[in-house]
Amino acid sequence: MRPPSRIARAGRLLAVVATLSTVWLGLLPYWARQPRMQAALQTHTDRQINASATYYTENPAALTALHDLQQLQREQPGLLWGW
Amino acid sequence: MSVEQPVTPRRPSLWSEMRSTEDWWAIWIGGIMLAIIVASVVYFPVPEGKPPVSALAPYLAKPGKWTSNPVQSIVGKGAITAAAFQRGAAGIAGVGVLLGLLLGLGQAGLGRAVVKFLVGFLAVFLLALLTYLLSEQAIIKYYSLEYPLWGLAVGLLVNFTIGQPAVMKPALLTEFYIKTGLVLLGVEVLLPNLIALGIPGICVSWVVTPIVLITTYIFGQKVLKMESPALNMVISADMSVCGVSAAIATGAACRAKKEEISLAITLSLVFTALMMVVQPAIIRMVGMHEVVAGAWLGGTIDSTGAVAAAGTLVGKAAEQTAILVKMIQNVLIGVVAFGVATYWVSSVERRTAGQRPDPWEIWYRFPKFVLGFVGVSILFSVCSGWSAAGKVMVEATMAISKDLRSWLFCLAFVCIGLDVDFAEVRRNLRGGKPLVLYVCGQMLNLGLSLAMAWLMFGVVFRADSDKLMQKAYPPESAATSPQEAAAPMPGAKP
Repeated sequence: MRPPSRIARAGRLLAVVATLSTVWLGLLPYWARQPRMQAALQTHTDRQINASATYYTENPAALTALHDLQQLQREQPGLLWGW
Repeated sequence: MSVEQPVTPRRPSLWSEMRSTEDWWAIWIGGIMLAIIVASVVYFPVPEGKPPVSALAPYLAKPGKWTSNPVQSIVGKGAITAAAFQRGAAGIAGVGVLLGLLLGLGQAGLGRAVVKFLVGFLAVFLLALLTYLLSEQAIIKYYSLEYPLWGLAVGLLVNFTIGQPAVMKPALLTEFYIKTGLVLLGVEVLLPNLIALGIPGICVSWVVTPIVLITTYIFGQKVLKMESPALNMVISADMSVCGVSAAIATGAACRAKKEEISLAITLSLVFTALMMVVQPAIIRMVGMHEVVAGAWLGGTIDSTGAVAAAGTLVGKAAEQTAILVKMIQNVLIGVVAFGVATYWVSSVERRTAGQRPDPWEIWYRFPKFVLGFVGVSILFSVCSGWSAAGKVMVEATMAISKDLRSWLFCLAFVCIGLDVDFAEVRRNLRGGKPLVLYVCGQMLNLGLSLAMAWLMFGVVFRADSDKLMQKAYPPESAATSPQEAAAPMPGAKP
């Protein structure tokens, strides 16, 4: 099978760039402006949630939750340790 | 009559191994990066920084979240101005320069062409930047579609359209980027966090997770008869422990092929997107106790970020419990990676080699970067627990090292997409066994995690669970009931 010509490859690259631009610069921002989606996004912002974190250190909400729990354990020693 | 003695292969000395293998160079480069960051934190802190940061922080950054204009990703929070753009771009360029120089040093140490590497690295780095721009869009982030998926997609798109550019070839070092990134990840694996949730946390994370991991692996080997034990292990680990990061760590520990790691991660992200919507809906339908629900979500949804997102759909107490259970699982990957590496060299590779290896052989085959990963984890865990100053130093180091680690993993996934072997992908998908393995393992995980979460948080530690609820919904803010605290589902009618 012959490899695609340089023009064909450039054409495919242009098509991919056009598709990505349409989705990321047009569709997704439009979706993000819809009231329901906007409210859902705002909840994550308010609660400092990074839903795409691959590790807990990338999620500020994890550090807050850990801090809150440690504070509660200082106030109530034995919390979650006594049978 | 002479008896032939078995020939023992001549092994390089430890010193020569330390200078000539990728595993050791990953440790050296990770170590140098951490030494630079720690020195900058100790000697050049930003005085007013709260939490304290190093003066290096503005020069080592990654793109942030954006909604409508991708330039916001470079600029960060605040107005888009030329000065803000320059500052953001300097942070990204700084990462490129630091990684390029240190990884180039590694290439020189391994006897490879440095200039060719640097040229290729620049191109791969730009693709990693594009990956971040795609993955940091608000909607993409909301649905937990993490950057590894987009790294793969960007690499594949280049591969499909213009083909793998020859100039990038010297920089397609998937394993090297992953190993160096794992050494940096050690900073974030703080062992005291393993007991943060007390006995119930230990039971949900320490007991259920290994049972599911081992049972799923045995099921894959004995029942499904998976052709690749490494693929079986990576799927079992990413499903039972914590998704992408577990797949990367165990995949590197058992020397899985890059196609196997990417297949496991794709499966995990697809099911994560499904489970983060379905599970909260079931929980709300049956009216499960929030803390029990949080422990169930944290123990079963693979992706770390998705666990928090799913928790918000149930309520604040569920969100916090889910996050903490997943955090313990995150820290477990240090133990899991070490265990998998030891099991692999002493048992799985023995079966393929046909003879029992002696302890020296096990040491010789052991993936040494795992020692760097575990060593860094122990060192920073001790520093963090030693004193308040140590804790501050670890947090300030982590603030920079986590971004560098993310860049390295992002580079690795772009390389996988650019260098993927489609015949290998087809071989792995044959018979749909990976999908069956994932679904069966996840069913076991869902059942066992729910039973343990209910037993621990709902029965044995019920009073403590109620205290966690009171903390999440204090009486003075009675307006915030659990129903009000739960975020609306984006598609649901108000």
